[in-house]
Amino acid sequence: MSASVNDDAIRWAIRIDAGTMDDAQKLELSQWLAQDSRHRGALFRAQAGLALVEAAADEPAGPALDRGNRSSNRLMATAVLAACLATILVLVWPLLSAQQIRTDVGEIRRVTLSDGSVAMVNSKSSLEVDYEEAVRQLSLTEGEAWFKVSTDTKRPFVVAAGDVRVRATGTAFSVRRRGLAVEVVVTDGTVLVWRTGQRQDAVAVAAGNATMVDSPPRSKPVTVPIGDRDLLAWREGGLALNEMTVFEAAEEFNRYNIAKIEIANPRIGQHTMTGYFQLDRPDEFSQAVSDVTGARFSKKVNKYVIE
Amino acid sequence: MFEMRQSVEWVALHVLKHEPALRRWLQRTGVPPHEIDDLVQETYCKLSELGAVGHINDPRAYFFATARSLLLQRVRRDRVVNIYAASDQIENHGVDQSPSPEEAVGARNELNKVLEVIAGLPKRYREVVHLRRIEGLSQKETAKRLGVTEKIVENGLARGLKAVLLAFENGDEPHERESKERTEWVDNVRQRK
Repeated sequence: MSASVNDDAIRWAIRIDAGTMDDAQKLELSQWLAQDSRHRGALFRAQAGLALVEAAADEPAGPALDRGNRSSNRLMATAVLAACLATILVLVWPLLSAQQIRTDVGEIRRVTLSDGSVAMVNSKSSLEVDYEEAVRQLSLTEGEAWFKVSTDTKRPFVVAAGDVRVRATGTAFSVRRRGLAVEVVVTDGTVLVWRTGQRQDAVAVAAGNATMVDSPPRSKPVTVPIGDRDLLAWREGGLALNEMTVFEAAEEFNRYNIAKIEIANPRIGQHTMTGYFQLDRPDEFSQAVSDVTGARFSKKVNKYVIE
Repeated sequence: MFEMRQSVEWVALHVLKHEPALRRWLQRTGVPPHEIDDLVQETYCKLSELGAVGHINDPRAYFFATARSLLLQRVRRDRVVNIYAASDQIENHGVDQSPSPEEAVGARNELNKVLEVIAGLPKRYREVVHLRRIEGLSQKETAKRLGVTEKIVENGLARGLKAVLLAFENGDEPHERESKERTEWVDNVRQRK
């Protein structure tokens, strides 16, 4: 009997994780969970099993994983909930609405979220969507995403990127992780940007501006006007180069393509380029560089070499 | 929600590996086999109710103590009193404190063990687990890539997760069915980064 409970729990853990359940299944799950504390325990165990598979995949050669313990070594109340039943509402329901959006190199995905907001997730990025009742919580763990936020003043829209937070209520903006730094570009409305623990130093970034939160932390994020730089052309599959060095531009193309551009000649890399290219045509860019600078350009297996 | 994540991860990395020892202890205490599953599930349910885990310094001891208090509750509720009047025994011998050497080595071993278990799966199941969990493809994309239905992807993943959980239930080392393909797969995953 209990063995089949474990089997059921495995099914549910997988369905929750896949995010493919319809309303009927969600109802069935909540009933199953309400039936018995053993069901809830078995589900929790199965979810831990899935998390372990992920951990094994993520850090195959890394050191022992002790993050869970360390990151939570804060002073926290021994918040043990009284009844198991409460768990369903507090813990499991939000889980049902959690969603993960990951893209491969060269893949750009547009997703409409449950509140009508739109997320465009750029190449090689990972976004978690965790809507709660009081706050629309999202987490950009890798790459870049642009958001068109549907207005809901009672339920702020907060994007976490490392220890940087970007808060909006009804605007459009993008968040990009650049190594340890985080770049926020606002195209509509105003957002608040701050580092966790430094909320009092939050800066308001208005439409037409970009801000870079650096690491190591400066006292305040630096905000600069976007001007005529088109930082979000990727949403249309384009890349707008505005006086960008060949080095920088190549790096941009390499974000989107498996076949990488290699600049073998540093002098060529210093040239600046202006123009609009298709993201998935590193060959056209390489040809253009070659035309402008007289450099030689050759296509090798999985790379373009400019020398 | 955040806490939920945190406690799932915490259980994954710090608790699951002690399940075989807990089961052995329950068995020694005289809990009949069909009740062991129940108690283990109830113990995990208790852990799922933890809002935070930062205050727990010794996950193993906490895991055992939780199971022990549930067991005592059962004894008091008369549910197992006929089988063994062992509440003294539970109180006295309680939690066996010494982790076995392989438990003491830490999470790294667990992760390797998971990879070994997955590597030991039949190829079609392993492919599903690989694409879904390791390459991070969605269920739909995985189905498309393999040219199968989403239902089959779900089944394959269920089979994989079952194997992983079974390994933690029994504490068995994964079967050493050596094959070149299998070893290559593990090497591949390890060298991914």
